[in-house]
Amino acid sequence: MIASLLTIGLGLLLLTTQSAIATLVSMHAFPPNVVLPIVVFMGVASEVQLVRGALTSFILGYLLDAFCGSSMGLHTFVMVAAFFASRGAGLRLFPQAALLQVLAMFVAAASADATVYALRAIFEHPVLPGLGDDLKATIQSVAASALATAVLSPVIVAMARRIEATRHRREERAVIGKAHL
Amino acid sequence: MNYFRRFRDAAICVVLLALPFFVLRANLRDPSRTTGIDRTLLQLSAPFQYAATQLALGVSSIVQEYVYLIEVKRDNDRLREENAHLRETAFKLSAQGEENHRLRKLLALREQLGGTTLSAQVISKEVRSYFRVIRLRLDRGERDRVKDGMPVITADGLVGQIRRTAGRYSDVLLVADKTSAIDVVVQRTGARGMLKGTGSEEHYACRLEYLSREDDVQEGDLVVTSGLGQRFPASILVGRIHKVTKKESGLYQEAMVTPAVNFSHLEEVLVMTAGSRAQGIEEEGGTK
Repeated sequence: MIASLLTIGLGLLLLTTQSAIATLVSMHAFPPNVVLPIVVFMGVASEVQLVRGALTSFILGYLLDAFCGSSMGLHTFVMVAAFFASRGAGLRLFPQAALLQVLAMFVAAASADATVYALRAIFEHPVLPGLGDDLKATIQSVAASALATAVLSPVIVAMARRIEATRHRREERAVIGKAHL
Repeated sequence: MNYFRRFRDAAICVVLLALPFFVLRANLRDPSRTTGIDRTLLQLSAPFQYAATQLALGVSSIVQEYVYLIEVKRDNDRLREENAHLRETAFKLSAQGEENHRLRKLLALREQLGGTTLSAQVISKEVRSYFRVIRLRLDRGERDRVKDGMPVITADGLVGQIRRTAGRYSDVLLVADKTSAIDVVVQRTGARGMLKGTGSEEHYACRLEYLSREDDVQEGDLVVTSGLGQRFPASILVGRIHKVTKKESGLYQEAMVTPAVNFSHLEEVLVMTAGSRAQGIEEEGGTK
């Protein structure tokens, strides 16, 4: 419970930092998704229970919707789906090396962005945002956003990992305490 | 139990995935095509949506206000620096304005006097206790044909006379110096006397001697040069009587005179190198 709250707090902190930085520096060209690395990490981390991970992803997605001003449910759905996709893709696939992690995150971010576009295209039919007008520009936008997310992901994953590690140690101490009793 | 738990988890996961999907669909759908389920979902999700939006707005505004404060601080620093710069400029302009005013007055005096005058800068002041100036040094000397005894004046009145010249410099004997003696008249009545400096270190003062007992002299009367002796042109303001002493016996009365010129504030003066029209300058120049 505490780990989930801390993870949500981390997401909130990252979102507020991003929005604060966005007021000073234009991030229009490379807008990172700061929540996605946390969701993907929870998806691949075996110590994160399925329900807890899905629920945390749901809340993080909901916060992302609120901060982005996008239609409610858009990022919520994508984040929960990303969590399940990461978990389904297999725990062993998420590499420990930073470079491979960045590559994997790039693919995940690009897929998430593509899903967002696809959902909007489906529900906002016949208006297809971006896709109908300039496919190349849309692909470039997705790639730029995915790149920014991938570059930032090692730091964000490290923070999320630390939260989980703290929780793990606390649980171990509790088990040892019980064994002593 | 384990089966039930797995079923519950699966149900929760499905709900977590399906709920945002349907909320999204209800949100994005054309309003004319929304169903009852869509409207119910929107109604149910509205309070959460409101809470999330308020949370996002609240947190963002706190952070943005902090960022704004940083900006304000930066602006403050910049404005403080700019203010200091502007103050410095204003001070310089003010000093230049004052100098300009003094020079204009001096120029007017020069034209009024006629004759040959030479403008000079005060380059040093010999100061005694109580910060009283007892001697001035000018940047004009023998090379500029300045000679001993030449009158030194400002728009305010008589400063004194050249006492000694050397190369490019000359020293001025002030009217308040105890070795100074000038033939003067009281402007109002024409009473004549000899103005001698007291040499007081506490204040600038002169003593008006050899005033006839019969002469009408009052405090506040202006004292001007008489022009006798050909050393000083006539009617140059020297000072103002501030005290009259009439003794019980004797032929004369005395008066104390405050010089018209404040020697501490002198910066530019005129040296009269040849005769003037000897007009009254006290009225134009700065009667005190």
